[in-house]
Amino acid sequence: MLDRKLLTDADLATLSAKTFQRLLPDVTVLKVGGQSVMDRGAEAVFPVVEQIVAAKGRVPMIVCTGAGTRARHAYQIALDLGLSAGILAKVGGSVARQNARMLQMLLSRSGAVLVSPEHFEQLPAFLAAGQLPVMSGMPPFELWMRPPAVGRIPEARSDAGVYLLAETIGARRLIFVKDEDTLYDNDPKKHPEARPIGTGDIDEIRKMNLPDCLVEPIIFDFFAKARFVRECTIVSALVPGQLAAVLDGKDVGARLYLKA
Amino acid sequence: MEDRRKHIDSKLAGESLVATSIRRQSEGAIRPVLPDVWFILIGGSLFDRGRTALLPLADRIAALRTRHQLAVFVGGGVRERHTYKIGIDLGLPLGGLAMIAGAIPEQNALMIWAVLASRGAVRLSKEEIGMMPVALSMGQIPILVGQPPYHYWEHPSAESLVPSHGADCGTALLADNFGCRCVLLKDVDGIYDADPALHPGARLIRRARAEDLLRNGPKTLPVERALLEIMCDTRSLTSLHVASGLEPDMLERILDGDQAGTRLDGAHA
Repeated sequence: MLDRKLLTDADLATLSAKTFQRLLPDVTVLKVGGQSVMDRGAEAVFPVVEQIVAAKGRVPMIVCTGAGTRARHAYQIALDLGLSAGILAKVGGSVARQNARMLQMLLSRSGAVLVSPEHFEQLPAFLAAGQLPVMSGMPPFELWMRPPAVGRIPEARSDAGVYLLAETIGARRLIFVKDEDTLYDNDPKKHPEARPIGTGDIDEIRKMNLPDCLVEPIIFDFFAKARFVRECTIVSALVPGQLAAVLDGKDVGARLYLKA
Repeated sequence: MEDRRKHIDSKLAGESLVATSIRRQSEGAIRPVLPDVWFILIGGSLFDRGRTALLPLADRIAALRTRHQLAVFVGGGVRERHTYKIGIDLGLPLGGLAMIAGAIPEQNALMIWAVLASRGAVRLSKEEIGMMPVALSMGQIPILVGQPPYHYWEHPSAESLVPSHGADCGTALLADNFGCRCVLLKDVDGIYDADPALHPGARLIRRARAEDLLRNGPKTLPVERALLEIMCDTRSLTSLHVASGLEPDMLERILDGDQAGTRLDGAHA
């Protein structure tokens, strides 16, 4: 009786979707960089906090954090011990959570609530109540991290995690707050001659085969397959007012987009 | 320009971790976390067959436990596919489908745990994975869900309305990251050069390369497509086995080091 023909993978492959639901279409997902912002301490973080607090009443948002230098130190030890990308991913996750806790404390007066991946389903309630969810940007892959094509440093870190969160909820906007307001054709901190790319088409940027990149390049692969999130904006925490301006819908920083 | 980031000195300090040179430097021999442990996936299709498939397989796994270290992972099967079918009709996001589908392998894990409980099965959640060495050293049989916790963070897909990372991927990814060995048990003997359900003359491939299957493989495969992509990059799990759970002898031959079913080689095999 249990052997009768059941719904197969081939049956599923013939299905088509009539609609795609956006779970939280009004929400902006904001990522605050780890190395680029949090590791600079008060001089970079306080202005970011101020701009988030000022915009919060007008812009429903989820604030996510990257990891930074402590993750890099831990990665170096883990690599030295011969550990795999999955172990590195879990190790790095702890640092992004530390940064999320720091931001949550700083944003407490604005109703910040720390949300773990296990409490994803509570995001709508927090947002509806006018609260400010703060999350680690790292995806929960951890010990199930895919092995990278090159080396053992996980390819899907906090930029990827934040991208995937925004795509799953069908977010209105995705904003990366870094210490530069554009990609460059190389790391400008090591190569002062590096040229800014500015607003641009992701397909064109991928063709440039950048030797280094301000955002994790895996997100460019995600953009190309996405249902909803096909652009993001990069702003700098070090340019006064830039985050506030982008949250108000002004065209600042660099917009990376995929032509429709 | 002065670098005002407060770094901890390390070779990776100040790096984006994206630069090719830095990624290359991070290559190196990997220390296995749990060497010589077999991760055995009981595919969801075997659960859908009920006792005729599961009881002989459970007996064999319990018997093999006396001379091999092993952990059992479980897949979903038709109820998982039904979940997807309804979820697709509702237009739910891929990550949402991945999340709700997880309830199905939980059911299967509980059922196989109940069958094997008197023979030392222990159900481990993902939070309890750190206990696996203890369970193994006590002669227990850890039972885990195969699906990886990608959940709401599932990768987008241009081709598929179904989440990419299922039980095959999850079992193989954990095996790769832990340095374990891996057998995926299905309701077919292995990977064929065409779908054996449609082509009676289809031939079993004894040794397949993931890259070849991605490029020229048959359209229908008994393993997830994302598994083939993952096997192109695995460093520890450089090959794995796909065999039939309906013939427990195959599992025994593989664990004892003989050939059975299909050996799937990754790019680093």
